[in-house]
Amino acid sequence: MTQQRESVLTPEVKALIGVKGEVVECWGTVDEEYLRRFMQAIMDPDPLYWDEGFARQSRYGERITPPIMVTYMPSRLPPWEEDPITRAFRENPFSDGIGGVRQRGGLPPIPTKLVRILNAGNDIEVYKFPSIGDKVYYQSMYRDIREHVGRDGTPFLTVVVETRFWNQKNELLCITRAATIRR
Amino acid sequence: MARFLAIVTVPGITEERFREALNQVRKWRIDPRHTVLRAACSLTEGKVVVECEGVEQAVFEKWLQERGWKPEVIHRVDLVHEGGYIWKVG
Amino acid sequence: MALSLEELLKLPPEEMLKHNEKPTGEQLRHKQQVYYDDVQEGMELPKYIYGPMTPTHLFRWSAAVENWHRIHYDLPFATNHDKLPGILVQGSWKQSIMASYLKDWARPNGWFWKASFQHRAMLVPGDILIVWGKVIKKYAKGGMGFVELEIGMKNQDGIESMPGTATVVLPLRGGRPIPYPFVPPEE
Repeated sequence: MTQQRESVLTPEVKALIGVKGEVVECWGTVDEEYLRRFMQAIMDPDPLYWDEGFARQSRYGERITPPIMVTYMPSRLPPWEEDPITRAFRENPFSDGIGGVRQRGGLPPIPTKLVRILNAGNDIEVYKFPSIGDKVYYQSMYRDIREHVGRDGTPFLTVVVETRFWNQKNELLCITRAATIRR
Repeated sequence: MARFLAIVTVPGITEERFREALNQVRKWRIDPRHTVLRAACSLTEGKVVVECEGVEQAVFEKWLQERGWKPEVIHRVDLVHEGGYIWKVG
Repeated sequence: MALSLEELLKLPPEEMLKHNEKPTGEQLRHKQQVYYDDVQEGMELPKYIYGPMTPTHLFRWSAAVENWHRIHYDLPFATNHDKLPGILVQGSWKQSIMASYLKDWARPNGWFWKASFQHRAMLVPGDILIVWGKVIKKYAKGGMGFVELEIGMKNQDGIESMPGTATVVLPLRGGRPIPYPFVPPEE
């Protein structure tokens, strides 16, 4: 008798494909000070970031900001939120420091017993450089969830979460995709 | 993963030789699964205490041997105090 | 004459730094356009070299993007709790460096459109990073030149940390401007 391997891509898991999180407005704006710290942290001295006259004459017509700088703006917790660092260590004295951070716009958890999560890669697509003063919005979705079989015969899932970022003019800024393996 | 602690005799060790043994990442990152995290040297006593995180003690022993560092003893470490925190590493 | 990636990796680390092709702000200001017509398959992009990385570089990035993960700044936690070889260079930093690199190559009038990466070898303070790219394919479509690249970030020992691919859009000589905001041609 052939033993049927139980699929891990259950109907409940499959139903998450296409599910979107809430639309989130990032705290604050794309501001000059964030730009300064960011460009210095990536050691990118591009005068398009800071030279008003030079940038105005470029094809962009204005100062630009680094291509995927806005994808870190979800890390900005609004001022009214409870301090996540204190919460993290209250809940777990050996916290990794980010355990207490509850990022807004999260997706529903995947109902699976496969708890080990491994990073399987990232994609980025860039359409417009954010402008100084832009408000930034984002929304995540489960783009794809698939089942695979490992070399040892055990099934695992690959999960792709796509996040789109846009500004107050509804201009698409960039798209990120994060692929993870659940096994 | 395990934590190994070796007490090594290196008669006549100098600061220059100690630095030379560990002054590049490739010298202390033995391989993706073995890392020499710390080494403490007594120049006057000719002793070095070396701490390695890894999977196989034999890999660590080979690394010591390649440097001409003869271990008196290698212990497996269970607990570490560092900067006010105590960690289980065994 | 710039060294190839293979030649660069044969040098001792301190010599590698002398071959850094990362432009200064002034050089970026005057950068000449690379046109689609000038690109050949197999051609290497200029190599940007960063490092040696230090804990302070890592801390600066974590602070800039509010990433509180202890593995990037807390050495006892990284080594004793997570059993890592040291504090780690952030994957997010590497991604932003790569985006910056491709943005530079495309400028002033081209466009870095997309990239895919995988995170492989962990990098630690002391490592030198070499950001590299190589043209693997090119094609024209919709009056624009699409250049597909193999990209990565190797350390001084030639260990690849972030292999990937990218697509940069370059203008054709005498051709139409690349639209901004970017609009890819229809399939």
